[in-house]
Amino acid sequence: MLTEKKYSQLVDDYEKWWNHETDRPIIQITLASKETSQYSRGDLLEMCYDSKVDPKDVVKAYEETYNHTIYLGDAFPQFYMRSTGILGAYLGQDWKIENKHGTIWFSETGEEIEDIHLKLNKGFWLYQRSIDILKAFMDHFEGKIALGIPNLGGMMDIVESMRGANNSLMDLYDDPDEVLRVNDEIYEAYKEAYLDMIDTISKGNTIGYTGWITLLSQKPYFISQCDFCCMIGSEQFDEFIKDTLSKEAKLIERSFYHLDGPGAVRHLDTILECGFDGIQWVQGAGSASLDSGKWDEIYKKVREKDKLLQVFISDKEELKCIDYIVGVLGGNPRGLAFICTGNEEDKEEFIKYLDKYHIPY
Amino acid sequence: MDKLIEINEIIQKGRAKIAVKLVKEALDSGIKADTILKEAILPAMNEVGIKFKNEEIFVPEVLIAARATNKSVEVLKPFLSEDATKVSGSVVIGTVKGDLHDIGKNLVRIMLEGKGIVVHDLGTDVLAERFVEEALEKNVDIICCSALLTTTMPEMKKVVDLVKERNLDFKVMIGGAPVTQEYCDEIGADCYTDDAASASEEAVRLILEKGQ
Repeated sequence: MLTEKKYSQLVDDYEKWWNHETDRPIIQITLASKETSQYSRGDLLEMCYDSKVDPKDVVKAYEETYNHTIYLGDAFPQFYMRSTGILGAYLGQDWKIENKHGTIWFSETGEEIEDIHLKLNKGFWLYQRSIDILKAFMDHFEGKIALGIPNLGGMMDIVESMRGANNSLMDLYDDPDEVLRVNDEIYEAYKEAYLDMIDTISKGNTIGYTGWITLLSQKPYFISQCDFCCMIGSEQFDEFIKDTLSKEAKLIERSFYHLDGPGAVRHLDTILECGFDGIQWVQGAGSASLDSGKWDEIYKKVREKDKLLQVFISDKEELKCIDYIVGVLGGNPRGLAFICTGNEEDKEEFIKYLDKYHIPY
Repeated sequence: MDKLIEINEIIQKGRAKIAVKLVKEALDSGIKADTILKEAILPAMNEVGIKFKNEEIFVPEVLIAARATNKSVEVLKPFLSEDATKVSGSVVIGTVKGDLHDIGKNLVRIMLEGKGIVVHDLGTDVLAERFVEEALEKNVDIICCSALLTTTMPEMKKVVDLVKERNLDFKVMIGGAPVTQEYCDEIGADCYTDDAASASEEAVRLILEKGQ
C-alpha cells in the first residue's frame, strides 16, 4: 500500500489532469513482483462469481495480489469487478468462466429479438453480490484503494451477446425497431445499475473512483464501449449507436470511450461528438504498433477536440511509444495517460520514463 | 439479359424475397439455371467480397447478401446441371478452443461458399483434435482455424502440429484479428490472410495446388 503523502499527491495530480490544468501526463506503472501471487486472473474471476465464496475472502485474495504488485508513478491499488458485459448477467444471461484464460463468456439467450424484454432486478443474487463485494472492499481497506463499478458493457454489445453476432446483425435489417427497443431497455437497466453502484462507492471510504481503465477520479467516472460498431458502417452507427453513446456521456460525470481496433476508427469523428471527456485507444493484438505512424490521426483528432487520451503500454519495449505519441502531439504531453504494465526485473527502465516526464514515484 | 443484371444487383442489396422472385421469373422466361448461377448470383457475391474488402460495405450487408444468395440457390438447385453443382474443394472451419467469437469465421464461410467450396462448419470452441478428426472424416482439402483472442491462438499451433505429426495431407489456414503472417510462419501454418475475401481466394489457390 502507499503512503498518505503519496495518496494526496495522486489525488491532486489526477484532478489537475482531468481538469486540463497541467501539462504533465499521467504515467501509471504497475509491475508484477518477482514473487508471484498465488491467485491467477481466472481464480479471482471465479471467486467474484461464486456465491459460496464470502466477499471478505474475495477481498483477502485481492489483497494478496496487491502485496505482489509494485505501484510506481501514478499507479495505485484498485478494484473493480470483471468482466465486460456483466450487465447481461444481471439481466438474465448465463455465463461460463474459463479459468485458464481468465475469461468469462455470456451465453446467447436463444430468444427472438421480439421476445427479449429486459428490466433490472436489483434482488438478483449476482447484482447484490457485486454491491456486497464493493462494500467489503470499502470496509476492509478504509480509503487505501480506489473502487470502480463492474464493467457493465456496451448496450449493443449486450444485444449481440444475447442474440449472437449473426442474428444481431441481421436484426438491424429485419427488426430495426425491436433492436432499438431492446437497446433502450438495456440502457435503462444500465443507467439504474450505474447510478446505484456509483452511489454505493460515493457513500464509502475510498481514494476515489476508478474503472476498468484504472484512472483515478474524485468525481464519478466510467467507460463506455461498443465493440459491435466494428462490424457496421456509419449509417447504422448513427441509427443504432450514436444516441445511446451520447446519453451515456451525459449520464457519466467523467466519461471515457474505449475505441478498440482498426474497425472502430471509422466512427471516431462521430464518437468525438458524443460528449466523452476522453478516448482510450487500443490498437489490438496483431495490429500496427502505437508508434507505427498508422494511428497518428487518432492522437491528433483527440487532441484537436481537447479530449483526454489514454493508451496501454504493455511492456518495457513499448515505453518508446510514450515519446512517439508526445512527439506527434508537438512535444506537449498534456491530457495524455499511459497505463503501463511489466515485471519487477524491468523496474529501472520504467523509472527512467517517470524521471523523464517528472512524475514522482 | 437485363434480368441477370437485376438479380445480381438485388442480391448485392440483400433483398432475399425479391431475389427469389426474380430468379423464378428468369427460369420461367427460359434462362438456364446454370446461367443464372454463374452470370448473376456468383458474380454478385464476388462483388460483395470486393466491396467488403474495400470497406465500401460492412458485415451486415455481407450477411444479408449471403442470405439472398442461399435462398436464390435453393430455387435453382433442382434445375442445375451436374457441372454447375460440381464440388470444387471442401474445408472444415471453426473457431479454436477457448474462443466463442464467430463472426470472422462466418464471413470466411460465406466467402468460401461463394467460391463453390463445400464448408463444414464446426462452430466455436473447437478442440485441435476435433479439427483433425472432422477433416479426416469429411476428407477435406483445408482446415480453417479462426481466433480472436491472443490467449487462444496457441490452439492453432496444436492443429498444425497434429497434422504434421500424423503426416496428413491437409492444408491449414489461419485467421482472426490478432493473427499475423509472422505468427503463421512461426507455427508453420500454410496460409494466413487478413480478410475474408482474400481467405476465399487463397483457399481456391491451395485447392488448385493440391489437385495438381
